Amino acid sequence: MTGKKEVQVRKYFSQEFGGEVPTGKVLDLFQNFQTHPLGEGISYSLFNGVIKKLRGPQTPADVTQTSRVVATPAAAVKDFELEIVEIGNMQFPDFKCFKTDTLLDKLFSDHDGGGGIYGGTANIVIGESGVGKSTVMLDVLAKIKSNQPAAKILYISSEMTRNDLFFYYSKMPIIAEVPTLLLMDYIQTGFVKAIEKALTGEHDVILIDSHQDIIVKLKDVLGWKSTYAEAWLTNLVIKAADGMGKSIFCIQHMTKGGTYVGSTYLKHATTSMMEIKFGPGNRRYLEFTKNRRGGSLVNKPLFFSMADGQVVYDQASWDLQIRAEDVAHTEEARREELESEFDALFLSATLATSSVEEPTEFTEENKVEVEQ
Amino acid sequence: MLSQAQFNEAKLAAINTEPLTKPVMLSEIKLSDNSQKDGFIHLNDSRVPASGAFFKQLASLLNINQTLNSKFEKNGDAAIGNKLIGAVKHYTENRGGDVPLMMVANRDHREITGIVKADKFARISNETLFKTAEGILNEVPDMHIESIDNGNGTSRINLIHTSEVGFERIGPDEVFRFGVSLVNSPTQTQVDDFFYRLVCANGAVAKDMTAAFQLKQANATGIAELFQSLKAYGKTGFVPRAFADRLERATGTRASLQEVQRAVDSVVGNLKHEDPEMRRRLQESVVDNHFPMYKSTMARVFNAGHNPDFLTDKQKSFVKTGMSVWDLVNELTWLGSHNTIEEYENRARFKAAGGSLFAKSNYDLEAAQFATI
Repeated sequence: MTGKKEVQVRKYFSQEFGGEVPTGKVLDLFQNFQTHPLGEGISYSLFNGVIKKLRGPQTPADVTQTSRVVATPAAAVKDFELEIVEIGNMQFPDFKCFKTDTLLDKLFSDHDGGGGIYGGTANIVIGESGVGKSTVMLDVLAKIKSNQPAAKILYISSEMTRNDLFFYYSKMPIIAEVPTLLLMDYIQTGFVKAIEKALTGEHDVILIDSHQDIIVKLKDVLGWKSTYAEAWLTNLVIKAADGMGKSIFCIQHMTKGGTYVGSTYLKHATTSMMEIKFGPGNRRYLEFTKNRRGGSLVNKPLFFSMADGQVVYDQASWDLQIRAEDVAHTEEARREELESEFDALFLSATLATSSVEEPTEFTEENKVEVEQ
Repeated sequence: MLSQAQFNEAKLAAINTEPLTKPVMLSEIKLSDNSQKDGFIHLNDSRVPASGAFFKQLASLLNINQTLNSKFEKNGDAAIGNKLIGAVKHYTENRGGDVPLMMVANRDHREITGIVKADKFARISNETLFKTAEGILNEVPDMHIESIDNGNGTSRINLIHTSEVGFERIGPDEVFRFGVSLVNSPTQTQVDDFFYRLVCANGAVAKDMTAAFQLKQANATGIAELFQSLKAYGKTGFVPRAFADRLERATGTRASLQEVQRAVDSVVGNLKHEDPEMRRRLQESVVDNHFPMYKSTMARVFNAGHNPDFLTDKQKSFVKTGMSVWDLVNELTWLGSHNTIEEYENRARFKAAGGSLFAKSNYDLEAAQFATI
């Protein structure tokens, strides 16, 4: 039951801050509260208790309680039947497919119809700082929009401000029509709700830039424990992708040494992992290191560059690579043929005669006298 | 230029003489006491003929000193050499050195001719080599096959572009056509630079110039690198980056007695004739016609009180001759590119010998003028 005084405190936050508790010291907030008509007769400890409830887990003790998954003892669970269904009899959603009309579609998926980004997928995009993660993915969103105007795309930026975006837009006018949510606008109030709304709303293809930065903000600004923030965001991404059929792209960071920064949970739960790297001569390329929708083109580098304000994929070097793979397969078959011919010529029974000298293994006794 | 029929004929010949290969572990090769002497090894309980080159390469793989190994052979102590190989092989196998190897065999001679570490075997098949050449011909307009040299287990396809590049600053005759040479040795595929001097229709193959490419691995990545490098050469018109500078140095530097003698030895040693007397006369004639400065330089050394036969290579490399390095390159490549009255075992090697001399990083007398300061 919520007490009368608690209702009074909640009403205050609802009226003044839209239901969110602003950042800052609780004592400062309490002093302001006391000057408000609703502040009358409320003690500091009660006020603090309500804030804790409104803010969610903040103290290590609170976080431990809420973030720890405690398995319910089997005996306490009401018995139920396991639902085991043959794959062919499962109910599948009608998967949407979004196309950029570029070579990249082939890498996103190798199913029928020329590839593309399938709904119901959670994807990670990684690469070292400055390699072009945001550039490539914003270009992807812009091209989907241009190719399929009905597609609902969304760019969620937690790192960039309006000013930063202006310079991006200046060099890439193609992104003009990319709907964008600047999370920095909600850093004071409604940060969590904004993320939830954006990920579970009407959008089909969503780019989160970046997953790690949102976690850092949840930790530093709202005081969440990083493991809790990580699990919360990852669960939300999986819910949006798997439960709601959206295609989510999470930009993640990488160390200079090429190590992935982020949880193993996210890494394992995702459909694909796309890496953007610097190649020979500082040419940039992307490649999928994991892709449950396009396994045949995993680990195949696709080089790209910027031209006329957009990302251009290097078709010639891609074709060359595919040709090289064909040749390599032929060569492998040829080597097997040559080995068979070798065996037939040298290791057949006709050559293996028993009258020839037996091979000798080197031993201490096996000496040769040197003539003086 | 080669016709399509000649190209097809050479392609078929190269495919039919493709070396056979077999991946083995070092421990699978068994030697007996007389393996080296009798020329065989044991593999999977079969007695398999093996050439002298095979044993040399096996010894080299086991880090056995080649001079020592040759000495055993020379002194009739092949059995000791054999024991040494066996002992080191046994030791290597038992100390983490039982590595995967690739054996190469000549199907016509029915013997194993070579062995390398499996990761050093970087070769595409002759069929793919010829298909690659066809690909270049299709993709690069005005590209032609200048010649194909098949022999000694190696196939070399020399491709040349028709556009002419002149270096008139160096000389009015210095006009060239450039291209590439696709080379398949029994264990290695590589791309050498190829250039053709118009005035005398000399073709030269130059390894180790800036544009040369060596296949690192015979998988998709390595093959993609090969295609990429060919594409890159095409963009620059196949002209090696340092060509002009090297040409200038070669024309401005006198060839040393050592450089000339090496060229002479290579040519006269390759000349063949059944009659020894006739062979000797032909050798003299080749030296007089193509390396006239050789004899006069030898005479000069003799008159100065030295016996040229007793000079070391180092001493000979300080002796000037009357011809430039570029003259010497041209004599070699001319002999490699034209049919002459004399017959040679392998004329095509002179193209490579000329190219190698040209591509040498430092000519013997390149800095000779500083000796007088």
